[in-house]
Amino acid sequence: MRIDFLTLFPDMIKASMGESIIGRATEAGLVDISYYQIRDYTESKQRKVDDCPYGGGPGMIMSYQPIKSAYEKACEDCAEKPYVVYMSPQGTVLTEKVSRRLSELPRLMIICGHYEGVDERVIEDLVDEEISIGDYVLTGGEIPAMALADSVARLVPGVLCSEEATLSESHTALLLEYPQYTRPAEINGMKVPEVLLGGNHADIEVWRLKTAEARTEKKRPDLYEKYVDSQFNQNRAIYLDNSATTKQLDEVTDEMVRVFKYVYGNPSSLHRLGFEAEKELRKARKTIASIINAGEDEILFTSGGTESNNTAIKGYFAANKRAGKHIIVSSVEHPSVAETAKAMEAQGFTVSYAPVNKSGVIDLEKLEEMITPETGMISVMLVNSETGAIMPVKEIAALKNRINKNIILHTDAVQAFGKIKINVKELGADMISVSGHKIHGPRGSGFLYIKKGIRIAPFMDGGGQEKGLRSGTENLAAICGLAKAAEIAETSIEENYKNVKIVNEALATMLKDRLGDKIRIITDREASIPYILNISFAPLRAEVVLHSLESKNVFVSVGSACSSNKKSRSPVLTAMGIDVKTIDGAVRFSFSRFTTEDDIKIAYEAICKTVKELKSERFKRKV
Amino acid sequence: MRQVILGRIGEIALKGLNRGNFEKNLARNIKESIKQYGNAKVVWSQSRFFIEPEDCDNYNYDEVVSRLTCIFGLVSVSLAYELESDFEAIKDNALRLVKKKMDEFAAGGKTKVTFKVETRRGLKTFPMKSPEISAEIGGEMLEAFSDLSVDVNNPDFILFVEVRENSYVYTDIIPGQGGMPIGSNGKACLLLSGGIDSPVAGHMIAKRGVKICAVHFHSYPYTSERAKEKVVELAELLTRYCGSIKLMVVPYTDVQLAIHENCRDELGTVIMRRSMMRIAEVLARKNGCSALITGESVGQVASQTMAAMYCTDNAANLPIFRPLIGMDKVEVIDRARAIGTFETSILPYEDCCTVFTPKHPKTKPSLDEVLAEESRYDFKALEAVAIENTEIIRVGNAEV
Repeated sequence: MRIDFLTLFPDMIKASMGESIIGRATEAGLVDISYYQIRDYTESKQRKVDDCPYGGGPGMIMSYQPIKSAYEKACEDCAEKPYVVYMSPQGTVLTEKVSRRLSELPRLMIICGHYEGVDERVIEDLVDEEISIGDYVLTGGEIPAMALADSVARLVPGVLCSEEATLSESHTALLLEYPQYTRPAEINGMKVPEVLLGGNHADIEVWRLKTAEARTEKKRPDLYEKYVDSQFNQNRAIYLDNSATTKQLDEVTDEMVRVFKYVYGNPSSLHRLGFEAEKELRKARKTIASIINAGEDEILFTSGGTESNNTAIKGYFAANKRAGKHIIVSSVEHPSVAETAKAMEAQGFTVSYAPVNKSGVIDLEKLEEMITPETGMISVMLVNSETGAIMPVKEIAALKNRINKNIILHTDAVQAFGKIKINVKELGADMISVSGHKIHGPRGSGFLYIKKGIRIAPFMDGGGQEKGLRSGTENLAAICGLAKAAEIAETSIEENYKNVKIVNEALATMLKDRLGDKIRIITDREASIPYILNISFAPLRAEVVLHSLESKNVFVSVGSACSSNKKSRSPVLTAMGIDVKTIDGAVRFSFSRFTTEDDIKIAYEAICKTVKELKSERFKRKV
Repeated sequence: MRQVILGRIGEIALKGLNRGNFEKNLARNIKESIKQYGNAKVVWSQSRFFIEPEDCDNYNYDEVVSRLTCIFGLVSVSLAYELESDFEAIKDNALRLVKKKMDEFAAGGKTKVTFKVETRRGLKTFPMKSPEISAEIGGEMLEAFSDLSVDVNNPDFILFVEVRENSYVYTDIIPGQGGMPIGSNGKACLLLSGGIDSPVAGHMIAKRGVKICAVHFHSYPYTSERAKEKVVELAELLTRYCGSIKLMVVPYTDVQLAIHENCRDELGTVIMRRSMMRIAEVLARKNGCSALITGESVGQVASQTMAAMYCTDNAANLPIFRPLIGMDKVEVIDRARAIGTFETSILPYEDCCTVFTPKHPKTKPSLDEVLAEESRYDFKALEAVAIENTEIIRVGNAEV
């Protein structure tokens, strides 16, 4: 590697580069260092290299010409194009990562400014990168240049005695050094840790890593955060359980942190801080309302899907005592609707469970037959959480309007919102439940759309927040996070849908091609959203497949948990008329807009491997 | 005057020439288990252990007493005032204790309280004899508290006075674990499944002074990570009594698959038990254990019939201790509750998948047919791999 210094004080640098490790490396020809005295290249008769700044101000500025000439001479001397670095407090801060990148270059040229700096045109014309060694000012660029050159040169192969020395540090590039000791083992009662005195290298490695982590966490929390992040990314999880919950977006986290830090007032407070909080709340409500084309007064913020569903059903009947006491729900509802319906049954309501067809879609004709003059509410989810089946909610709305306009139509849109467009005017549902954490928003956030004119009784009485429907100080950060997540999901909703469809197709097709009869795709992909793909691996048990995939860093979920005592089979798949064996092998893959085709390839390989491992009779004695 | 904790030993006191070793062992265990609460001296004389904290004012006596009730070797403990052997001092502190006791009863709604005084006089130079001390102290108490009366047969509480070189007064004797100090009776290896029984079995053998290490057979992915976590948690709960435990988690899936694929279903469980014993024995010997411990009891399940246990025993040379052998499930559950493992044991992570459980296991297998069935595959090789890949988890820190 060749390093050129363009400086007014070459002797300063020579003195340090000539000694110790770098000195030896130069002698061995591993690093070739050249010095260009900028003053030698000035065309000024007085050998001037600097001048006063235009516009006035203190100090002198190094002129363009001498530096440019020195640069040209350096280029003449060696044909290799140099990567030019200018040492400046304005540059990116030097880190081990930067040094590593630069050490791979064939030629590095470092320009050392002095006095107040250099003419800006030097930077514009010659410099590839500005580098700083920290937030403080020195009299010149020479000392930083030495620091940079030293940290780069030591990484050049062969410079340090053993490659290992640089390698072992590279693993821990984001960690501080672990503590080091040398003889004697004890000084004035200060002992060398026991583990280092024993010869167990594995233990020593563990100890070193642990202490390095601990001291980094303590002394350099900024570094430690990066380290944790990189560790996390290294063991990249292929997360295909997005219908259970999603990873919160950084933008959402930032938004929440902003609210936590700066908008901590209570929206009900009369003073300015309260008013600011109220404004944020209103803004969030407006964002949500406009996404689903609703009025702001039609949005009730809740803690999520379960609360929304409970509020919709129980709250409606509590407020409307004269409404019909018959409820129709689909037979494939989420427990927060199904169990709520059961609770209503216990209170004397009649509940009918509308059947679904083989695709898991509600049967409209059968639904129509179920409607009686006593029917007060129909609750049908918009997208099924286990299969992804899309329910004809629009048609149900038309149907009930034809028969009896007073029937309330509620839809649990937890798996649909942010994935397919929801326009309340078109959909025709009277109440819609939504949850935040299924769309990369915060847990504990969600809302219920309640069509204007529908009365709901509150669960909680108190300060009268949310128009008296949900007392208690608003969870403003979560609400703002929800709005943010919804906004982001909405902006590219169609594009996301397309991409997820590609991912879904890819996985389904590859698996079908490779595994054929060994799997059965339960999701009817024509009738479902692409975000969910349910596949049965029967006779393999879904839970075993799940754990096996988990060991390969692929995360999925199963509808049925099996235990020795009790079988809890998925009621959804049971309602679809699927046989018990197939249900016990059913695994749900659920994607997000961040699922990549690479993820799918890894998942596919893992699935094939799992099936092979679990299917093969590896230990069967050959007869 | 200061507060100290008295610990009483039971069986150890009956030991002959090596009694000293048991006492030293117990003292070491006590020190280790209470060192987190601050410096305290542990001394003993005449079947009594004295725990004397350095900083009496800031010592968490209640915590330490409760900790000591978990130490094997201590029959009971009491929180006592230690004072000069002087009648006035004894009387003053007795007043203080009785006042506290009366307050406690009053808080519980009971105002009329009965008591008696029990005195022991080790210091024969003390001018009063035991019955005189009891009578005098009792008299003082009756004078001081009008709601107090004497009932020697069935008192609400007893005021204990011990006159030794120093004197001690206290009111409560809190029962401890009894048994022998951990480490005084060698080491054994517990097969820890995650169910209700095995932790209880481990506790019972440990109580006899046996240091415990544990083996768990893990069938990932047929059981989950949570099942393993549960076993670690159970071991953690046992450390309160047994000191630190070395938990060895054997990756058992392959052996289980091999049994499943090669042997008749109805014999699968017995063959699996035999294989587990073989593995446990190797690990036990590696760790200097001289016995295996299981939570089996006669007839509980098909693999725990006498015929099945005969087949299982045949696979190991070390003795297999089954302390629950004659107990009913309810008795085991009571014990599990008492030692605090029950709630964790019933967490539903075990046996996630029943793939390997035969529908109709044979309850009376004969050794011959088991051996014949077992010879269909070379399990030893797979077992060696499992042993090789055993994960070691150290549970608990205390080096007891």
